[in-house]
Amino acid sequence: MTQDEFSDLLDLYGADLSRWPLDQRVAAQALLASKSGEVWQIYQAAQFIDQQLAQPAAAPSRALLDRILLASTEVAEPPFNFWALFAGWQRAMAGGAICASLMAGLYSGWSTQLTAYSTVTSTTSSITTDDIPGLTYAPGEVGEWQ
Amino acid sequence: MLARQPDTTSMMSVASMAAPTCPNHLNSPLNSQELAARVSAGDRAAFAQLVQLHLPRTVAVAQRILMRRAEAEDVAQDVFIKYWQNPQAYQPGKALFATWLYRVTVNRALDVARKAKPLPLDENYDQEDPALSVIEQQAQKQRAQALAQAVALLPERQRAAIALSYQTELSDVDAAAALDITVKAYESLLVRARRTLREMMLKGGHHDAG
Repeated sequence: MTQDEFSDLLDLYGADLSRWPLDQRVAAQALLASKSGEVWQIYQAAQFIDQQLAQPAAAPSRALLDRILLASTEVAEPPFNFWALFAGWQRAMAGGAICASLMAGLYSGWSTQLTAYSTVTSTTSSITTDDIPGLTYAPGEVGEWQ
Repeated sequence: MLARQPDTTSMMSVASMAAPTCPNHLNSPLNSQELAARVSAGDRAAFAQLVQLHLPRTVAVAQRILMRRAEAEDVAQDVFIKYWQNPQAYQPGKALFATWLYRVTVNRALDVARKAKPLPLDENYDQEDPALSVIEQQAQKQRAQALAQAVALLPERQRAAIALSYQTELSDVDAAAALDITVKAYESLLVRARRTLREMMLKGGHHDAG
């Protein structure tokens, strides 16, 4: 590995050699072992940059959290969204359950109606005019059936 | 920009609101995705938990881009309030909540950075290492300030890539998604940023840090 290749890989992967691909890490370690002053300068600069940039920012104060929560009370609440209660597969499950209930309801209503219809038709087919009191055949009058 | 000094009389109710159904978010069985789903249904306690969970990194990302703490806090506040007003802006099927949140934060911080006049960096931008001697601490501080100035001179997109790479736990794929670019483009931003910083540090004679 040349010094330029080493610099390029430092820029790509950072100074933590454990994050480098194995073959490149071995080559880089061999280059560092050669104790070239310039290679070490490059490596230490990269280490310093990584270390500084990775420093965690100071934790936000409780006052900032309170300020955000307080500000959220001063703006309108988001409109209620039923579907938001379910995310991802839960939404699909909820949708499926609702559809299944609707289908079951429709089927149940339809089949009840069918039973009622068949009961009515089977009963009415056996009824004759004689079964209805006061209903007599009177031709020539206003209506045939009185 | 929202008011930064709230009425202190209401603070008690806010503090109690911040203690949601699950008192400690670290023990909470709810992850960000589930909390976001509850926020979409108007659950204020879930919102408080989500803010508590993501505020530190949101501020850190904004601070890395803006280089100033107060502005970074304003950006974080703005991002969370806008999210509360319109939680449907986050669409769970498209990205993880953190990816989406950092994308919004980066965009907002870049907007502010473009409009802001250049101001001096925060004095205490980088923290001191207590294990070093006073002289070493002084040298370390100078190097850290030189680096902070070098970071401030980077193009905004490179600063954003640096912020996501070092201040969040996003994978390269998610960080690229947060910036709306390909992974290759994200890596290219990082490479250019690191190279510029390294060259500036070496040119400035700050290469003897161990």
